[in-house]
Amino acid sequence: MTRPLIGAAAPHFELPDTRGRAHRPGDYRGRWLLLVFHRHLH
Amino acid sequence: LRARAEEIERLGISVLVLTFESRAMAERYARETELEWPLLIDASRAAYRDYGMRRGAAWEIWNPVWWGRYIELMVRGRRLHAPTGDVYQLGGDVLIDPVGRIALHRVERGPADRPPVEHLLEPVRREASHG
Repeated sequence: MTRPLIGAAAPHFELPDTRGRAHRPGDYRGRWLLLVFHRHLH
Repeated sequence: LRARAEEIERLGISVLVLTFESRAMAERYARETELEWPLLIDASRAAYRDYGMRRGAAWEIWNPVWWGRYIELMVRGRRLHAPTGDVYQLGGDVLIDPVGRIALHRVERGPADRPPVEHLLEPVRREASHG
């Protein structure tokens, strides 16, 4: 695993949301994007 | 973070929340919390790994310093469920700038270690003030 560093290109992913819609970081190019990685849901 | 959702939108920041838990658990969480942002399901935790979200050690996870945070959540009316996923997986926050580069990267130090929202917004405000 390579730990992302400040200034590095954001790693690609394609993940579905709870409604089945796929999201990729590249979809948000031109805007700021905050990724919030959750611990287990409680 | 959610209390500042309108401000975050005004700043031009999109938010995606990621979980590694099951679709059923994610759907229940999104419904019960009326989450305003998409909740992405990363069952393999590939994105967690690629973005450097590590698993915590036992002393980090079960540290009494975090218990007060859970009590605070319950006092605020949050209904907490017994964990079904990997309790050792830590979360964190990554802010990506408009050209796709990582501007902020933060991994939690423990289960209830959430940063001040202002810390997450700081790179955006800094860029705006220079722009």
